[in-house]
Amino acid sequence: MRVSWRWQLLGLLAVAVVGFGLLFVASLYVVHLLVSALTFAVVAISWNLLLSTGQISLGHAAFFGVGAYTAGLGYERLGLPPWLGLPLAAVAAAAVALVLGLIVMRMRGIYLAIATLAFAEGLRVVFTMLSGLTGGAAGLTMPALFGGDEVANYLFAVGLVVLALGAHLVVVNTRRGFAFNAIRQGETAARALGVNVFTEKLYAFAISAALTGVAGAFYGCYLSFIDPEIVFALSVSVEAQVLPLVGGLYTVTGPLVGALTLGFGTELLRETLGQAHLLVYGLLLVVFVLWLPRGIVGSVAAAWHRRHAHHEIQHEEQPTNADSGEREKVRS
Amino acid sequence: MDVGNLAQIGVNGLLSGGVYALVAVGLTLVFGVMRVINFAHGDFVMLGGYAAFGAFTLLGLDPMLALPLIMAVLGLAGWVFYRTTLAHTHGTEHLNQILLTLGVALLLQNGALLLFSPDYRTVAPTWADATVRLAGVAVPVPRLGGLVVALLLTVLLLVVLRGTDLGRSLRAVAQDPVAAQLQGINVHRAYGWAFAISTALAGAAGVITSVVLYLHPGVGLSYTVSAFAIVVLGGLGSTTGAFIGALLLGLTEASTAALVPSGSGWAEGVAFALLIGMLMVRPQGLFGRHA
Repeated sequence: MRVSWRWQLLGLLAVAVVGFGLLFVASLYVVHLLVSALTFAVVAISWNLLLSTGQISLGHAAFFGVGAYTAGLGYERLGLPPWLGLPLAAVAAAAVALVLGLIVMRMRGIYLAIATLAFAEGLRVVFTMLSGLTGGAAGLTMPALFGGDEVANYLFAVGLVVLALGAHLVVVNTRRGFAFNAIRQGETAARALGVNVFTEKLYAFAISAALTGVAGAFYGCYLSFIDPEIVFALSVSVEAQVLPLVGGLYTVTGPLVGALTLGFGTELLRETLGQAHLLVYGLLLVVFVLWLPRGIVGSVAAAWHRRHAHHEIQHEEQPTNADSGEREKVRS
Repeated sequence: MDVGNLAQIGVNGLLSGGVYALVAVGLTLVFGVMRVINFAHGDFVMLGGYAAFGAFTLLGLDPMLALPLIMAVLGLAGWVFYRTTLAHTHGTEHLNQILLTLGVALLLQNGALLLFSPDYRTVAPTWADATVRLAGVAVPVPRLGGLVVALLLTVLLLVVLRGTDLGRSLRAVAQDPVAAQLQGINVHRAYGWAFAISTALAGAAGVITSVVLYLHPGVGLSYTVSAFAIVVLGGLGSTTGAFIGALLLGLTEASTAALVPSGSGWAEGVAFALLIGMLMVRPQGLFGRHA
């Protein structure tokens, strides 16, 4: 479904305005929940952006962790101002992604998924073992952003989400979006059409990692403490996929919708189930893959589309072939 | 570092490789036949371990006697898993199967966390601490038993694959599902069998680990990743390759733990490094014929 760029800009503005407006109705506790939901929305958006080239990452925790440690170590070891940590985190995560991208460039599907998972888990071991530099398993104290002000942190998180959505929209609206789709549907055919598959895939990796790196740095500062088990956790990589799946894979808004839907739920579950809250993520993965593969946004869009198509047929006495073809596509 | 120490490291490595072999052979069977990586594979190892723990503490059943029973139960569980979930995603994009098996992995792991608590447990039959000395090298009996069981089951699997109708149908489906179907082979039945055999082997591995190592609801994923590293090392889909790859991983981990400063921490990362290195250098693996 194509939406004109005016509506897209309005949509972005609406996200920002609603984000700001929530401040006037939400309690401080809800704002606190929203900060982590929005942070993981950024991770989910960037994972979904990478997926739009057909590349499945099971290792987004690597970029999240590298971002967090860049900000933390820059402050702790080099004495850099805390805010400088965020752009540095983006650069560092993108650099790591370029290295990883060069390694895994020839891999697809399962191979890529498992290689990225191994990469993230490997980094967790490295950051734990190099305790002289990173503080190891004992962790690292992080500098506070905005003097630790909850509202300012929240507004920054809203800003990050708008930035990530904007980045995805820019990709969707330019030739790059078509290139990404072409690569997903078949690399050989994309190459034949003149798409530079190698560069485009690397680019997707770098931009996805940069956004996740900033999210990691921000989240680390927000928590004021990190260790490898927190920022390189498998659950970060899992969250990066569950949120878009629930919201709607391959859609721009899906990851945000998924993050907001699940954000509150998981926090409540964390309080009742403790460590086992990932049980519900497992259940959601199974349920959505088997019965709702389009996610919330995709299912709603399909339902709206169906209704719309039905409407048109009622108005036109004789449906044309093109119409029925369109309906076939919606059903399949 | 004298020769005796090196020999001891070698024996330790080979023995832990035996447990890995059981895990990896099952994973490679499903991949070879179905082209699916089961991210929940390691969690079936975990379930097998808890089954052995239950049989031992509740019924007083020796793990080695419970082994065939646990394999049967886990095989059935794997078949049910395949029929209820994976069978419905057959022929769709890889992403679905990855997300689905990952979901089942999370379900099993966290379900076990709620049911069995996060306490570390071991099964301690009378022979758990027994060792024999062979040419000056101490060999723990449970690990030796594990290696022997792994070897026997791998040979049995190879015999089944080469010499029986079931094995021939599995190999035919692995080569080309459509052609196999045209020959009158029920593809879904073959997939169900592949899955059942795979999880039964994972269950056997679980029984061994419950005596040799320890049990924890979260161990599954590390077994899955180690097994995947082994399978890539040996060549995807190759049973012999998986067995040899497992021994190689065991040896590399044991020598890292013993020879590198603070090596037991680094040993955890060996599988990841081997996996990525192998995919870079020789993606078809040591015994794979094609990439």
